[in-house]
Amino acid sequence: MRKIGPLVLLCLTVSFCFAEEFHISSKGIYFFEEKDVEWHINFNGKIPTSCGFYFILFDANGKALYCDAIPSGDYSENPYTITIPRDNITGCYKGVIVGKESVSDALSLPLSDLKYEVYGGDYFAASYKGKMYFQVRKEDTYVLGAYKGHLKVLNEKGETIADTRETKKQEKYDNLTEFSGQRGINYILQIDCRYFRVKNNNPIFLSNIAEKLFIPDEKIDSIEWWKIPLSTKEDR
Amino acid sequence: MKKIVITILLFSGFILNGAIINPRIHYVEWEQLSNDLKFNVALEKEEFSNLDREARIVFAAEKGKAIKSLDEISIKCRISSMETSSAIFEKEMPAEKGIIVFDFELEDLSPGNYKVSGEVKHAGKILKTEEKIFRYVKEDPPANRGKIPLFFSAGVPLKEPFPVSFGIPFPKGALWDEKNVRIVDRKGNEIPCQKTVRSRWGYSSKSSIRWLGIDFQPQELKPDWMNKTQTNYFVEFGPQIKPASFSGIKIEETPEFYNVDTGKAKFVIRKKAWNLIDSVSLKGNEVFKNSPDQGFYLIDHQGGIYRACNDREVKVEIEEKGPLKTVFRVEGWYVKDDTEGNTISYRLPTDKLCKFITRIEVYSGKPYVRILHTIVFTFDSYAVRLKDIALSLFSSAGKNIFFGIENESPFKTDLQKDGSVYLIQHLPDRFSIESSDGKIIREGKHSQGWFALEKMDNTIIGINHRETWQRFPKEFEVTSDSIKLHIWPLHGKNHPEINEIEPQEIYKLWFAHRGRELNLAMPWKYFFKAAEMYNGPQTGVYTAPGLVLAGIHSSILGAALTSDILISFSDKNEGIEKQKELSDCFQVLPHCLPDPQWTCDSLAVGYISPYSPDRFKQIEDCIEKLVKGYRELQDYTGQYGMWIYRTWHHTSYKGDRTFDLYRFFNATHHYEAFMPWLLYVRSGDPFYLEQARANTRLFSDLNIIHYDDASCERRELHFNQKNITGSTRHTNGFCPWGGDHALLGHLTCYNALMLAHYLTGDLRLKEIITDEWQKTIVSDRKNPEFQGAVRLEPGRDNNNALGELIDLYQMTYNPALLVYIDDCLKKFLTNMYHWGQPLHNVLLFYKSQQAKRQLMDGMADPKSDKLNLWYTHSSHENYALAAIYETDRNKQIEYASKAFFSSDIYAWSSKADRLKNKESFGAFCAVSDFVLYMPRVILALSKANVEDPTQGSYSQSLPGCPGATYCIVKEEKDRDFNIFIRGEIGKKESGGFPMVVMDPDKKTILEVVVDKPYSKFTIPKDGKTGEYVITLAMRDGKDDLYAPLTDLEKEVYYVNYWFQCTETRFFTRPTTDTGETIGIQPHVSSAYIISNKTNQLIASTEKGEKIEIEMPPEGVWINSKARYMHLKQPLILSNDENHWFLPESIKGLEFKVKWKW
Repeated sequence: MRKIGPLVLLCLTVSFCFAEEFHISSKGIYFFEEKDVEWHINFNGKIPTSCGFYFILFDANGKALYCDAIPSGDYSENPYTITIPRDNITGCYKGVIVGKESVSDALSLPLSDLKYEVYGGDYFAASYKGKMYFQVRKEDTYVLGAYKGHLKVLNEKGETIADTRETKKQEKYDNLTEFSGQRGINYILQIDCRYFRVKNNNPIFLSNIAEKLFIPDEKIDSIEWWKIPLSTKEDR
Repeated sequence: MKKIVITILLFSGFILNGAIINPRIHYVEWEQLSNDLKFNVALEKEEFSNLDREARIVFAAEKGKAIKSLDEISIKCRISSMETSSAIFEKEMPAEKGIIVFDFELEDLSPGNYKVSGEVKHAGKILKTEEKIFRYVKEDPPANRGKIPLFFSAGVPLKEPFPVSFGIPFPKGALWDEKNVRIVDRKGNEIPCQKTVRSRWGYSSKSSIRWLGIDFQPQELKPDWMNKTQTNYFVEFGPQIKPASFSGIKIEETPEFYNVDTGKAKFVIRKKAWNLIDSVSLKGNEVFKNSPDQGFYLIDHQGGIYRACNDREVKVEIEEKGPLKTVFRVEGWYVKDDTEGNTISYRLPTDKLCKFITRIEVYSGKPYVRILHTIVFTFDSYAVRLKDIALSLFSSAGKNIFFGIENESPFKTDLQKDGSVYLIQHLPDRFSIESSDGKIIREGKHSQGWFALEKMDNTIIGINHRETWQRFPKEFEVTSDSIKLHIWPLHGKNHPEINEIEPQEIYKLWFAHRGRELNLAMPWKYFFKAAEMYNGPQTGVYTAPGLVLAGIHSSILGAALTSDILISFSDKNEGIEKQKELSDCFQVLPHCLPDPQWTCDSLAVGYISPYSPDRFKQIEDCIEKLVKGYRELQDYTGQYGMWIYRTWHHTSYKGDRTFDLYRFFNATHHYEAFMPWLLYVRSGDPFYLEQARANTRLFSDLNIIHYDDASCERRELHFNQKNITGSTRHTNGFCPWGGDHALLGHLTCYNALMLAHYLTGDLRLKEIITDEWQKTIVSDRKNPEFQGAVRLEPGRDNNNALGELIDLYQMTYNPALLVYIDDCLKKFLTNMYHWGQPLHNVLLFYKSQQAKRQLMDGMADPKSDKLNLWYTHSSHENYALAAIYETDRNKQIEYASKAFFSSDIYAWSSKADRLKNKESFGAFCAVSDFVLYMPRVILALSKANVEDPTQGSYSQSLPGCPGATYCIVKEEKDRDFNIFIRGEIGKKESGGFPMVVMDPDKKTILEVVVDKPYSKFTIPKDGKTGEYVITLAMRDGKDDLYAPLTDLEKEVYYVNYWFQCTETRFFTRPTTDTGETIGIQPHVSSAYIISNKTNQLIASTEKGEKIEIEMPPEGVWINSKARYMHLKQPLILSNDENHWFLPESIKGLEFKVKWKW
């Protein structure tokens, strides 16, 4: 046992060091501020694009809290931080990253220091092999497609409730499967594909940490964020 | 293992006794990429003739992963006669470098078929075999002597001869030695000329000449391309031609300098610390002495200065040498002051920032030099900005400054003491002459592109820059000790009044054309504007906002910018007028062409016909309106600037000076870049030359990648590609230098650069083809980006590449290309999806029997299209090629006619009118799908001797009326007349339709079932005049015929509803003098009713609503795209006003189907 102890410790250390980092590209990053606090968004990672990326943060009323280009750089050691001051407002915020998919691959998640943070939409790119958790906004049949790969959905008991390998249904390059989604349930998602999507524009909201899950206000998804006036400080 | 193979070979006695060919065998390095063993026996072409003299066969092996080394395999080659089965050559050889090249003479071969077999052997086992068959034929040589007139496209009044460089093609077997060529004037006097072989009809120096470059200095420059009866100069060739020798440029080379004596001036060019021109002497007096720190330089946004003269490793060499013109090529880096020049980085700090390739052309008897300066950007758009890109020459003791202004006398001003005076063309229609204290001295519209400094000793230095306002911003500056051309201005202006993201402005890329600094990073607001315009933030590659986002992610790294400059030196008292005259000439840059008929007959540009406006007016008008209309639209919408001048667009013009932004900056997705050169070479029209030159410069500079920096991690937004040298940009970045790219694929058009080089002698274009594109595909195959840029999927990607590779091979004769050609050809023959020039090149140059057979089989049965022959935007190309190759006279006529009609000429004529009128216009990419092959269609019609199928009138879809279409014609005088059945019969199933012809006495004189397209029925002279009624029971969706139907002058169609197969434009007028109400309703489509008197729109519908109008007595035009047209009342339609008449016979005609309004 004396000999095994250090080995176990070594294994744990190694597995911790090589634990897979969670990155995902989604249509929106949703934050929930329970109490009015100063909170932060930290972009942590090496941005691979020379143009950087554009970040827009807005609330459910369409008010922009941040709207500017994040320049290219290596923020692995010192994150690029956005501070959102206390403002007597709480609730849901949505952030959108405009840029190359590789930016999302580079950014460490979660971005914020808030308790709740999910990545939502009907189209995702991820190379993550670990478990992801998600919730659905409304009760419906959810058809998931794995692009040139496979995925499966498990319920809270860990039972597989949808599996593209079992369903064996295809739509162009997507392997499809479906399940009946219900609010309030933390579903588990395991993917073996780079891209996956939810058909019929039904969004799901996911995270690799179940405790971070929440369902964002539906109103926030109706905001046409690309029409929010830009505050880019491009000095030309 | 290698030793074993060689030993086996040595003892195998592998050379066959009695071999009758004795090839020269050599080996070429072939990078091993394939995971599996791969073997090609590749022919240069399938048919050789005595005019080829020599032939080439290539055996290429890729060992695959299972075999460790190429040393372990051998290749057994055998060539045998198919007639006798006897081998004429047999040998086994080690694979060595991967490619074994057999070059052999043909003269010992008997005409016939020969089989070439290859076997790959490893450890005594045959692993792979391949066979090919080639033919050897005898053909009559073309005339080996001749006198070809030369025509100038644009004229310039000349007091002195001006250097002209042009290219002339020769048919295979016509000219074997360039020495047997000269230029004579119309009196027969020989004019000195310099000749350069630009391409041969084969790889060997014994092959006949395909393209010959000629330099000469004409005294007269009249634009005679339209009037080809009075030309001043001729090219004479033939074995009897022995041009007189003459002396010209003299060059003395020392370790430090090139001393050039043009006869009029002496130029000294440094070989080290290159400062462009070190000194100039005229008549023994030094009129210019440069200082060592002058020449080209640039300044980064931190103020660092990088100079060409700082490059210690600069290469200055003679690239083309001759008595009339010599070209120096200088290649190096801009190196930062006070650095060692050791570091290269795409961001600051760096010792070296941007490469340059500069060509200095010196001319016999001339006191000026032309400079073609190419800067290759080696920085990332987001890392570096530039404050200045300039050429500076030392100059002291200045007296007067002259700025050339378009349509005005030169503007003269004084030199400011300790300051500078500069002209800045800061907008395409605005320049300003200012002093360094900010005072505006003069403003105006267009600089003429030159400025000059008159010195105290009355000598003059002039700098000329071509297309200055078109390529704004530019600046000409004179300081107390220098004269400078700023390729990017030092005193740039911001123009905040221009909202750069307005829909009318966003495509002009203002961010790259204004401001104090050259900042090539596209602002993010462009994406948000596009998202707003397209109502969504799509980022995909098939969306406009997505492509704008790709523009933001693009980088200038790897793109280039070429400036065309002429620097002149005048002796004392020569005056500024001479400078102005020189500038006029330089702006035009005179060029001449051989008689287009000669060029077309030579087949060097393939199967095309000369410009034939007399015989094929409709086609020629349509081509002209489309291509010129496109350019006029660019002018109208103000698309000028150094980064966008004369690009091609892919998608549509939406009217009101707005365009669809999707694929807006198209490089040459549909082979567009070749189009203006093709149209120029067959006409001589200076418009096409100007368009072609500017587009090719933009294409070759910005759409092709010239440099890569492995340390730069940036990748394109879509497809994730990094740079690879020689690759062509696709349509997918909202700027000319952005987006994905390919070395081989459907999106390339290197052939445009090749033809441009042949015609103009532009060495930069050749360099891009050979030293960038070819070099990468032949010897950089292991580059990690290679596989992603070689898109040889079956279909358009493979097939366009095949056409391009055949053209490339004829330029460079690099044997490795034959391996690609062989691979591509195999795929092409199983999937003939047309894109670019593959079928044409495979037929004409490769001479594939199988391709020809498949084409002809496809003609017989287009419906069972298993080979994708008809999966094309340009079916007229198939028909035209079939007509050219068809030997059966009737079929030839049929195919030529089908080529004409399948081109959709009427619809294009209508679209061309819209474009000329600046109305909204559909996808521009389709223009080249139509235009590129029309010269071939004309050739097919000419070869088939088909009368103009339009008979002087627009031909369009004949209106089909359910049950029966009544076509009523009127014979004024008794005569034979013809009914032409043109179009498709039984489109979806066989069988025909009944046709009945009644004479003026209502007697049936013809009753037939029409079941053959392109047939003719003659109604003989019958002693009667008056109306004949032709009743055609055409079937909707099956029979598509074209009007007019007869060769009579009066012909109308009586309908109460009609269906049609293309967009049409019919004339009609009231049947009474007082006018009448008419109503039309196109089926879910647009229609326009246009006044015949004013040409104004009377009524229209976009989506098929009913339109009712009071028809004026002079009649109206009904334009409609609709497949079906409902009518309130029957109409009498005709193709035009002249054909229309009011037939009496309609009283007795009834419609079989009645329609409710």
